Amino acid sequence: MLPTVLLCLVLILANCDLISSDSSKGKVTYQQHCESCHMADGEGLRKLIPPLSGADYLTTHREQLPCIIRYGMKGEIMVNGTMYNDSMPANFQLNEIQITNLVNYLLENLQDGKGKVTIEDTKEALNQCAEKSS
Amino acid sequence: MRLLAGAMLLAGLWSCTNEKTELPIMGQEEVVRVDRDGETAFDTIVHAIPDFAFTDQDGNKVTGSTFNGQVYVVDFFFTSCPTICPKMKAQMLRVYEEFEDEKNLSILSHSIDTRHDSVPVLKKYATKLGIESDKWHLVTGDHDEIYSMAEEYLVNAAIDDGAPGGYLHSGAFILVDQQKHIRGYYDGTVTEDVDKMMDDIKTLLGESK
Repeated sequence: MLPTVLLCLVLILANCDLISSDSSKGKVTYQQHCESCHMADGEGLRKLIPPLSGADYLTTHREQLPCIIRYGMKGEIMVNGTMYNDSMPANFQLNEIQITNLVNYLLENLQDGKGKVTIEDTKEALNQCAEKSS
Repeated sequence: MRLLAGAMLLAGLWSCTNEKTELPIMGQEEVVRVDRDGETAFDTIVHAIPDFAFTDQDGNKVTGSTFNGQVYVVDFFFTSCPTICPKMKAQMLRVYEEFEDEKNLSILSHSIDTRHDSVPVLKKYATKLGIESDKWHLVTGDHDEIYSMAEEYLVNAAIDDGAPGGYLHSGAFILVDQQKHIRGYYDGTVTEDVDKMMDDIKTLLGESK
């Protein structure tokens, strides 16, 4: 009996994890995969690494964020009026749940917090860049 | 009793010398035999940084004598480093700005990626950081010489295809005094450690006055 209850509990918790998009979990992902370049508070590094906190780019490129996180980026981008032109490495090790939580962390903690993304949004966004790259 | 007095005298002497130089001189000590007026004597030599010759972001030659009479901070990095380097550079910028008007403090950052980090690449990186080569030298040079200097500073630097970006290196800032002795190691990614280093720099600058 007890093992069954435990199993159910584990399944429920696991399921919760799958459907929720939790920005506090995004924080852990941020610390592990983004912070060393974009810094703890998202301020970036001078004209080398663009900021994330208060960055207009996050709002204007919301739909592209999952693809940028997974595949990295290269070339010129304008963020808050400054031109950046260095490459960001890909993060193929991050799954869709981690990317969803991360995008929500970026939007909620470093931006105005408007509009949460769901796992479906992330999947759709990733499908589009997968199509483009193939 | 006599023994106790002797010990107290020694302790007193030690604390005197210790007060004068608050920071330890680091590195291996070596006892050498010297000839002093025909008599054999022994001297203790402390590890000092030997001479080197590199080129900085403006194409200037940078050698040991570039830092004569100066305190300088050393680190190892590469421009395409995706791990600890940006944090180290953010911390080093704090040092650069704190001592902007102090002509006796310089910074020496060695690129360990001699294949990619040419002088123009270093120049571009310096411009984006907003730094000048008269205070902060980003240097490149002979691969073996750079890696052997890492050994002289007693830190790790290695090519490693398994590491992110292809290189492994220490995140340490190394503090070197006017006599080219190593006086401290600090974690270049930790704000509190770098605060401590800035205090120690002021101590060393004060020692020479």
